Amino acid sequence: MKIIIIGAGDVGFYIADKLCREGRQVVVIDTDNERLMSLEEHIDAQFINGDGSSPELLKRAGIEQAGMLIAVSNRDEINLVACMVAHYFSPQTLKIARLRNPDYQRYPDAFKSFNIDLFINPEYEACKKIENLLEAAPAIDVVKFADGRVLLVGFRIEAEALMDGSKLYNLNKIMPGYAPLVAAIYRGRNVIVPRGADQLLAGDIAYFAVLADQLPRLLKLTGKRETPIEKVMIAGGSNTGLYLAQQLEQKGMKVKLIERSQARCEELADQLSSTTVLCGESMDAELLEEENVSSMDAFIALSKDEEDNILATLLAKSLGVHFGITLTNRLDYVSLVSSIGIDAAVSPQLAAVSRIMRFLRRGKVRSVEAIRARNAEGIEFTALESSKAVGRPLKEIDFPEGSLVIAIVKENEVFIPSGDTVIQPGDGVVIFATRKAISKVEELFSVKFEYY
Amino acid sequence: MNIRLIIKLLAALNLVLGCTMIIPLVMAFVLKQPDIKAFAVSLTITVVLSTAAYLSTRKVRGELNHRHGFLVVSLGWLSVCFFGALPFYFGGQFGDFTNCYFESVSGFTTTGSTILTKISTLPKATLFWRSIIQWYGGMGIIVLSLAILPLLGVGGMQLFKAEVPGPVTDKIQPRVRDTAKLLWRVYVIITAAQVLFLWLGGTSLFDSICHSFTTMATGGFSTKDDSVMSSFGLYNEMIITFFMFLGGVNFALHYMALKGDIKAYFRDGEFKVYTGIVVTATLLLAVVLYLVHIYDSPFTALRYSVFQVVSIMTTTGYNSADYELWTVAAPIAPVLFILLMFIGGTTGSTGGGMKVIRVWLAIKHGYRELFLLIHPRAVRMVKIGGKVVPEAILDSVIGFVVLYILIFIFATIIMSLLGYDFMTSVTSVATTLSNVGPGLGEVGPTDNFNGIALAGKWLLIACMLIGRLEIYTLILLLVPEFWRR
Repeated sequence: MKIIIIGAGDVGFYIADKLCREGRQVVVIDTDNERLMSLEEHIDAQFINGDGSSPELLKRAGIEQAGMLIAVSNRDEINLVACMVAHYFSPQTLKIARLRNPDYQRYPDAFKSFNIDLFINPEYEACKKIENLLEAAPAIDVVKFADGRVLLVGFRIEAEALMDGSKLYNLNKIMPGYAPLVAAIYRGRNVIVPRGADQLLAGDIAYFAVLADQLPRLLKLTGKRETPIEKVMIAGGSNTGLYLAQQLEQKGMKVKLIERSQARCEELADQLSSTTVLCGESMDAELLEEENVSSMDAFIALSKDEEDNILATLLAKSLGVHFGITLTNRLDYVSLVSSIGIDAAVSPQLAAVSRIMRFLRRGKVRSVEAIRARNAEGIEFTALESSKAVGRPLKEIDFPEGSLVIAIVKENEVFIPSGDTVIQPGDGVVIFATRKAISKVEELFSVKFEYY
Repeated sequence: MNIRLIIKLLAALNLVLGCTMIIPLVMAFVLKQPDIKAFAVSLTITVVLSTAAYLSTRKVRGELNHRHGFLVVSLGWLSVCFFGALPFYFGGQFGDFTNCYFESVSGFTTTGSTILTKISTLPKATLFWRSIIQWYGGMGIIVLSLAILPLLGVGGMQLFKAEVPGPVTDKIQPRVRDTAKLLWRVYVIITAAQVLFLWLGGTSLFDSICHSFTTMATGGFSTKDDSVMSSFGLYNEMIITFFMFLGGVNFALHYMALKGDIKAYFRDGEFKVYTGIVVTATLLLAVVLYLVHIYDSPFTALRYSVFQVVSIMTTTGYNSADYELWTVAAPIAPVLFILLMFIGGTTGSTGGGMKVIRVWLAIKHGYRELFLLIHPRAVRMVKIGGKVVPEAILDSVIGFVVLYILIFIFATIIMSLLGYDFMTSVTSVATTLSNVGPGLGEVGPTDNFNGIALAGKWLLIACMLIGRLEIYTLILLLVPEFWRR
């Protein structure tokens, strides 16, 4: 069964790459021939140059036998029409469309006739990710499993912090009675799935597996401020900025929103109620100081220009903000920015990919989340009786290097496992695995981590 | 560079070749042929060496980058030709190793030039091996490996492109592996059809299979001393002509036709031009042959003309008449043949040469330059079948044509320095570079390449490989920049 992807941008590429590696037949359609030619070297898919909404082209791509159409080109109209045309040729095809225009999201009924199974708005997904981050701040990354009951929370280990230099088996000495599970350590470009004797070092990004209600204790352990975020400054009044401001308003946060254009500011002021809309440059240090940026709990740069965002966040951090988030459209930047002192980077593309992947998951796989761009994943799935890892204490099982069970999900109980935990058939298992380890984990649990 | 990964892939390629040696081995055993020992030894060497290489590198994982790809294809061909030459070497009828390697390269590259003086006296299994390696090289050793070996996933497209001829290679299925499988399936089906037709025409089963293998590969190795001249008859000649013609056509079109879309042929611009050239050249040659009284009946003139034109244009290289005898009375014949050799088959076919589409694009490009001189402000696109050809492809086509001609000139100069006359130098290089087979002069249809000097043989071996891999892949390895980090 074929999968047709319209749009070879970052989202299209990432999804195509994933599905191809699973051995699916993927057809990618894009108008940019040079982009397609460069992708051809990386992915074993078929590439068609042209307009993805053209019936002729979709037919040539084999829409009649396609199991799924993922329309993620950068133009909403193309995506909509493509889904409509696809429905005409093959109603049973699953259709996913990326829609940027927030108006469209507001009137889902208007698009019923397009028969689209899933709408994706990358900016909207990115906002949700930012909200999650703000909830868990000062964590720099949060990934949710088991309907939010299990969290994988990333922290930067600061020099001189409580945990700096401590071995993992000594963590319980810092706070008696509480020994958090470290699922992974990102050191430079490497991912380490640690053993007890591994050390946490300043500059590392450590991912802790915690139950949602244990988060405050973990925050205490990391020695970071645990006061909830109340005051937020947003730079960039695009639709994303507007949407985020609205959401934060609803949560009762105090929001300041900086936007360059006077006209847009007026529009924003009209649509927002408690938010203070400021007209000016996000990189204007004077304006930031005037608006007391140092007393803000978080600074979020959301403009369309990612370099601007990075610089504005750095400026705000230098002026005293504790927590800075930057929006970037380039996947390469996501792992880069943390090394220059920005707390978290959010990519709309990556957020959209996660959303699509969550939608596509099937079989025994309950959810899959990419962790820090592309080199590792958190996977939640149902354990099978046939697996070698079931019915034995975890410490007796030979787990592949680079993988770790971080939580067990039972019907009405979730817990972080210890060496004596025994996985029962039917349990949900959350596992962290690096890219290299994934196939071995699949073998161990005799589960195929397929998306589609 | 990830040398171990490359060794692993090469080992897998040669292991496949080693396994195919079982067929002639069994045949030699059943028919009690004298070459059984040659095949047993060759098979052992090939399988043991490649298995050892594979086992020692089996754990190597990784992805092929651009440069690896070119290296794998080039070394793949060089090594497969080496192991393919072993049965000839141990058989003893071919002479020194240069001769064996020449014959093997000529086989895999579907050239069909031979160093043998007496063909029909060879043991049957050896004859069969000559046909098998041509058939194997026709659709391509890499394409076959892509189809049957799972280890060439990502990066496979580049290997695929390097082997399938033509400036643009389209996949007929999203995955390279499926595409390769389908192409081989089509190849097998058409070959089987030809075997059936030849067999029904009274040819022995052995000769039917051997000739079908070398026809569909547009190779041209025959089991007879005089190719298709005496022992086939009109019916079989016409069958061979028809299938040679098919071999010169894009296999993606055959695939669509087999799926029921016969019209696909006529939607394809290149196919129309290819057919046009074949028809025009055939009629022209037939008229001349008739007018200069080489053949007294127009029908006979047409019969020999169509066979020879198709054979040379598709770069098969069979001959149904000693066309060297035509050159004196009809000087158009050799000129026409050299032209057809250069043009060759079409994109995605088993034919060699520059390919119809490249020649056609070069001509259209030339015409556009003239047009722009007349209308300096005109915007004019080069189109094929109503579709605009991207400038990048035009550039690569022009680059290809220039390199092709440069290599041709360079090799011809060397051949003449080695002491060969004008006709021999020109046609021996043209025929090997375009993977045709026989040339004219000392390497004419009734002669062979045994008399060529050692240096000349290696030069022509290089020409055959360069021609089959469409210039760039092999030449790249000679560019110092390729080896810099």
